Amino acid sequence: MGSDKNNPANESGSSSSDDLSEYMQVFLDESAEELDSLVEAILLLEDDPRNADALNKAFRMLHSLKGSCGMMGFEVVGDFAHTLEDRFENYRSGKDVLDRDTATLVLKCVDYFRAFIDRLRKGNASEGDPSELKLQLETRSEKTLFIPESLLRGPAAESAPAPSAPVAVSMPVVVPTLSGGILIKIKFKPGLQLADLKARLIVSRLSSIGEVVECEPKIEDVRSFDDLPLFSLTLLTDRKFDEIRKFANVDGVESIDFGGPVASGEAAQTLPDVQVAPIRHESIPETVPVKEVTSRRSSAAEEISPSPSVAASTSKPTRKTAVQAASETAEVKAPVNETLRIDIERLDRLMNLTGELVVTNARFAQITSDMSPVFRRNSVFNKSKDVTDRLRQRLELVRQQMIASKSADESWNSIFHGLEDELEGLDQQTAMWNEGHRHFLQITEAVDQLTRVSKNLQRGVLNTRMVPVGPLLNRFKRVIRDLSVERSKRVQLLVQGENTELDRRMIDSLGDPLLHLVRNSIDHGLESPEQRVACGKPEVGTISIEASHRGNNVLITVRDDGGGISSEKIRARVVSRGIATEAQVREMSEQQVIDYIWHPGFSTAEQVTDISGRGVGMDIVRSTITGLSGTIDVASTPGQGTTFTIRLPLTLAIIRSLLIRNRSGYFSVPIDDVREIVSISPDEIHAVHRHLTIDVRGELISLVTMENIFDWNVSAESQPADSSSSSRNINVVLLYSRGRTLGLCVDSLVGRADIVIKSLSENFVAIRGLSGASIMGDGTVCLMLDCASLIELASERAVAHGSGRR
Amino acid sequence: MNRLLIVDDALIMRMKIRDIARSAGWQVVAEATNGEEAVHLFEEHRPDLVTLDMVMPGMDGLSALKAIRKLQPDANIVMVSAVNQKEKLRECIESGALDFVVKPFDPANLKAFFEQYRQST
Repeated sequence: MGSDKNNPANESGSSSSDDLSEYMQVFLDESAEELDSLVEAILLLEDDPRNADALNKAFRMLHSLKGSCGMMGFEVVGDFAHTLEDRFENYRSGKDVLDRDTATLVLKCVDYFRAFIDRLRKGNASEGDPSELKLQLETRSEKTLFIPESLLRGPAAESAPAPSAPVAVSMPVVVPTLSGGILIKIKFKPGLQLADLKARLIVSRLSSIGEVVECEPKIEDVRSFDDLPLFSLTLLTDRKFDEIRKFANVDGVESIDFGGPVASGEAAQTLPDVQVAPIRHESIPETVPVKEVTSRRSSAAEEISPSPSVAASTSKPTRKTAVQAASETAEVKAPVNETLRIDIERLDRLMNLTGELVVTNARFAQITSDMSPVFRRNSVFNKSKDVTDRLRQRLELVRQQMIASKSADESWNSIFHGLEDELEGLDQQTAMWNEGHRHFLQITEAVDQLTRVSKNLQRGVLNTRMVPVGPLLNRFKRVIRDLSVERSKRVQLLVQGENTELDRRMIDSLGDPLLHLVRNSIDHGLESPEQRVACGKPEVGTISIEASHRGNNVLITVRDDGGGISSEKIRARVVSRGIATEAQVREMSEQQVIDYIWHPGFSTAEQVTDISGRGVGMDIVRSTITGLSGTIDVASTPGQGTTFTIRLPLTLAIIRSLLIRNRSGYFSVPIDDVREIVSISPDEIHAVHRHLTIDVRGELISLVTMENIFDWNVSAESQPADSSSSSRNINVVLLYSRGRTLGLCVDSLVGRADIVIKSLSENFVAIRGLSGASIMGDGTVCLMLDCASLIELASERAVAHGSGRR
Repeated sequence: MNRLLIVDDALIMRMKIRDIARSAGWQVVAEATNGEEAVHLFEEHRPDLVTLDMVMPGMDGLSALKAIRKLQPDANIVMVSAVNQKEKLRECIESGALDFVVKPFDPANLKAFFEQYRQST
């Protein structure tokens, strides 16, 4: 985030600068989320201006935004949020209704907030100037609000009771002659906000230890001014001063003085400084602005009437809101889980460490499995036991024979004994080995356990990175709304699968490509309402964004029901741009032609609009998706619409792969790119136009070897697999990417593995056809093949080869 | 007596209050993000003091205050509220709130506030 130097929260002098950036990070993230929710609520309100949930939500978001801005010391922004909050308070309470124009204006205000947040993220703390927007809001209010501010100031103030007029006092009034109370003078801190409520609070708290018989100024009179310097009351109580002080000492009180028992109070008499004061004291200065009704806010109107009966009636709607709140709660199905924000860099580090743990664990597993033949039961232990047993038997046999032939003497006996001792020693060694075998079994078990734990850990870490795509998809509601207004098209957005989860890193990168697709659909895909009606389609066009899980992938489709992509236009454009010749283009299939939209710098928009058609087109979209190890495909039916399908791996961190071996090296291929594996005999390979081709169930697939594609260091040169053993079958992995299939000959297939991929680009020059490397269980490096570029490379080589030879 | 429950739907507010309260010697036993959670966590932890935000999704501060006071009539609850929630705040006072703090608060004042209540609750 921005450097601490620019951090504006410094100015608020709130706390030390160390934790400011942490606050700032939270402030930025939370505010951004609040703005998203606000927009969502406003869009709902556009269709249903009285939607209570949305009104409450919008109000809450603005309230929260105001609060955190105030916290961080952004007064201008906070104040502006406050203006809006008040506006929504009116909508919420039914005093006013949000109209479409105002909604548009509010969205503009959101843009102002967003711009502010964005600037802050970049370290620029300037709050900007919302006065123009504020003015517009006020102008709107004069036109549309039926409670303009003038009304609030005028009649509302008039309806307030004259301060001198007798006021019904809700406090129990005790006839002065009967009272023997203590006079308590309370001085508030200067400028204390809501001092009237503080006074009320004191009365309320003191009521628990006695009876408040008299207040000055009267509690009803102090209802609406903040600046109440002095407040005094008389309390009937039997408590000691210390205790009274404790109860009166609320936050914001500067000092508490006791005027002493008014009459003959028995309490607190032990204190010597007690003065007897008349109950009608003069201590309240005349400067207390009783008349003033200072609240600028509309809510002041509600606060005007002071009589207890009104107070009772106001409690009724409040109860209603409580009921509302309860019913709202019932709708919220899952309780809000406490969340923790973590810098994604930290998660990345954690992920990497977990990856290394998994790799190390795999090495352990490898080592134990390498050791297991040695330690397998009935193998070494039993064999060595057999051997010693047989040796003993033979020894015994020799001894018997020597006794029989009477050739045994002392020297032979000692040799026999020596041999027996050696055998004994061997037995001991075997027993020790057996002990080792037991330990080995324990190690194997521990490694298995470690494997389980590290797999779970890895899954857990992965899960922390997964976030639902909902917020990302819902962001487009706003875009679509704005664009459709601008382009005079009518569009509805359908979003499905909001709960589909995806790696956070990908969510961050997906925003721009998806935005581009959505804009494209509105700009080029959907027809004008008139055209649509003429075609017999519903007037309102539909764009649907759908996210779903498909195996180890997430599919995101962006579909519109517009006119589809015109292949004729693309053909013309391709030719006019010199990308391909007329003849070439004519031979291509529809799909091949449509795929030209991915070509760099290609744009079919007839007019360049300010939003799409800027030349930074679909090629950028595709390269972004490819950068996420994903693919994007387009399908279009003329007159019926266009569908873009984005396929993404669940996470970038782990890739399920097929391990293959070619010559001495290991390679991996993402399993999603493997269509199938076939075993063919060498005579099934045909040369078609000098290209090696195989026939898989009637489909001709071109065949390459690794040697065809990569330029190898000649030192490791050996014969290609097929000619070295011409009779053996050859394993061919069929790679599939972006609609194209390629057969890759490999020496052997090793198996499947979850691979933690490491980037090569940090240390090595990027090599086309390779996407990274990983470390295998035995410590050897395994290179990962990038299928898309492999297929491209193969076809380029084929073209070069073909044209070069002719 | 220094066990505190913080209730606020905004993380940044909770962080601020948490940091300040800790510096004033309070131990934050739990944090809640809405009224239901607050009531639930109150019942679970029985803290010595609760700071309660007014405007929250679902059950708001006022309802939570009432619910908590029902559980424990002498519960010490401090409302944390913006100036414009005055009506609700008044009702909170009538429903037995111990005190209230106006948002945005000055950290030094809030610290003094926490210190004061650490001694008196």
